[in-house]
Amino acid sequence: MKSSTSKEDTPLLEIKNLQTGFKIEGEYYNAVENMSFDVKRKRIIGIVGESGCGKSVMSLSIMQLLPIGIGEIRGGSVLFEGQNLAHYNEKEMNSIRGKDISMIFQEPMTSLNPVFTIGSQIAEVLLNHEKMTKKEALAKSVELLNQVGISRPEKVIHEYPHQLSGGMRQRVMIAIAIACQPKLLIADEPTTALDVTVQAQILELLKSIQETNDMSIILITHDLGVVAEICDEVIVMYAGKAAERAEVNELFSAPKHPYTQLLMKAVPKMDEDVDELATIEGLVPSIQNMPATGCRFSNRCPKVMPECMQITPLLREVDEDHEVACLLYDPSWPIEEKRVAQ
Amino acid sequence: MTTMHETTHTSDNMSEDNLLEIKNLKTYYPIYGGFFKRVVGNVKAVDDISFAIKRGETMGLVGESGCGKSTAGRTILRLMKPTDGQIIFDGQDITKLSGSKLQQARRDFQMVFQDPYASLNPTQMVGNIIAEPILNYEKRNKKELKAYVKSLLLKVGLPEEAYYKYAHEFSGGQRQRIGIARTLALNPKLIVADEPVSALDVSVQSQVLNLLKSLQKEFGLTYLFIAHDLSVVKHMSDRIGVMYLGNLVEIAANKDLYQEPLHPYTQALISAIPEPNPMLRKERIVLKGDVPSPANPPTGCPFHTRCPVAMDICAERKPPLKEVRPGHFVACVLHE
Repeated sequence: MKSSTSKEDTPLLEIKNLQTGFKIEGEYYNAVENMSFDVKRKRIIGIVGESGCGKSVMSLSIMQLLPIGIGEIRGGSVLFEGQNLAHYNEKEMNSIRGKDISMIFQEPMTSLNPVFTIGSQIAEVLLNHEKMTKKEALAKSVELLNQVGISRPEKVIHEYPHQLSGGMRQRVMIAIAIACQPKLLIADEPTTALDVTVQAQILELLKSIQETNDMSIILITHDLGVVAEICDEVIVMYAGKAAERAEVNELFSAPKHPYTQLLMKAVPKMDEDVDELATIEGLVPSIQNMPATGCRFSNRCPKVMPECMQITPLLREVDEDHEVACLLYDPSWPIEEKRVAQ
Repeated sequence: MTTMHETTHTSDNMSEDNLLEIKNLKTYYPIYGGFFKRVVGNVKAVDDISFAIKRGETMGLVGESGCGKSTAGRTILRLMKPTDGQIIFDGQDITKLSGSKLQQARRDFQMVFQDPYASLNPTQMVGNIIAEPILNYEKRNKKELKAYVKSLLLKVGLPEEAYYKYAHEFSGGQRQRIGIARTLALNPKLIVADEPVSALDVSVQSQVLNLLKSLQKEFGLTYLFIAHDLSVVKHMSDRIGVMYLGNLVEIAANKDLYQEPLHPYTQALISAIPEPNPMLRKERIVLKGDVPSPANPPTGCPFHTRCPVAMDICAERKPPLKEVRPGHFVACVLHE
């Protein structure tokens, strides 16, 4: 591990024009289309969107965990420290997964193997990637469990997943994920299955580990509250594309894309009383019924203009470090009505 | 449709205008063990709760998984047998009802279920799904019934043609609308909604919440709204009960509960909710550990094992739910 100043400046992960397709009845449909973004070092990036927007497919694309023969990366690149992971073979990926990039999943109940002890599951990662004896790996496992806040770790390493609660299992998952001190952690809905008091514990834990290990996190979630809580930067996805990207404070104080604005008004908030919540009419189009041209949100957008059906909006910077894919903000389309619509 | 069955009931034999009164309700699940499968213990899912719901009001029940909120809802609808206590619905004690009497009583209280995928029969046309509860109670002219079901579909925001379709042709939000139309079919007085939106995306969730609110205004419905998401419960309810490990630890009007939560658990629960506003990142009360098992609850106050301000006495005595301010009940030694 060399670290130089030039390396510090380059983003840890660069995703460029990523396209991931799924084969349905012999034909490919893109679940992720033309996604481009950077993950800088020591940052937490939130990817937020409703179900079916492609956020999980994107994380699986980065890890090359797409179902073989069904899903594949069909274009673009995934550059991790300058290396294009999209060209890596299975063996090369295995040396990266769990070592440099690791992942935690939504379901702490099903992501642990029920027939192995907690200790052996943590040690497995260490034995795969580090030069260690079994004994050392187990000792390190105890240390890791301690780090993720599990009391009496010496006993827990001999226990099985069913003996632990949901929150504890998610802590074990995190211990496995951070065992080799990865540079990037992808957390796919890590707290969705947990109760709110346990969720608060896990978010706090992720934040503190991110700081002590100098790691970057891609946090995938549908919950704007979780994003506001721990992310530095947010990407809002809709129907396989990025609709908006900004620093977290900027996004929540000045959301620009009509979808983002509606999404924020649709959730009831503790500190305000409204009689009626904002709704978004209709549904996210299914992967087979994506409009070929134009904005994918156009059929549900309250500010839709006739041009939205024909012109595909590109993600462009409209404010400092704030990108939006919406014709309303596109200077090359100085439509008079759009100012009114804003 | 309000004329469908006007009740002859007058509220003279009821205390005030409560539609539902729950008194010391207990629901235990027996644990069987040993060679003869004897009862060796009880899971105290609901352990002595009392509250009342006024006509036209929405009462929210909130709590984490395993706190007994769903069991409470199901027991109130008599889908489950209470171990002890009393359920008084519209002046009638329904605790001990059974058979046809229970069935008759049930037309006045209905339920909206959590999972819109599992709660609709996949082999039935939507029209039949909605008409079924009516046919359970009375014979209706086919044409008239069809027109009525179609009017219900329009009421919940679905097109009339939905009558001829099947559940799988609809999205989660639309299915939940079908479920709501089914509960409305008998023109009930009380609707228990058990996590009606937790399986839905936020944009769809807000549609269903708005629908439930507007139907309440239109039909004068009374709701018991059960959910784990405190911000959703607060949005929907006039009063909120907070449950922990089978016990009601606090009941208050929705504003009071949010502005001045008195029970340490309510305070922690409110503080744990991630607010969609990064400027409000606050110091949280992060509770230690997990909810204890209701099969083996702690002695004394059920919350003392995780309570940040627990005292010695909390392990010994279980504080009763007491009215400390008008309409604000709390079960905590600190407020006795």
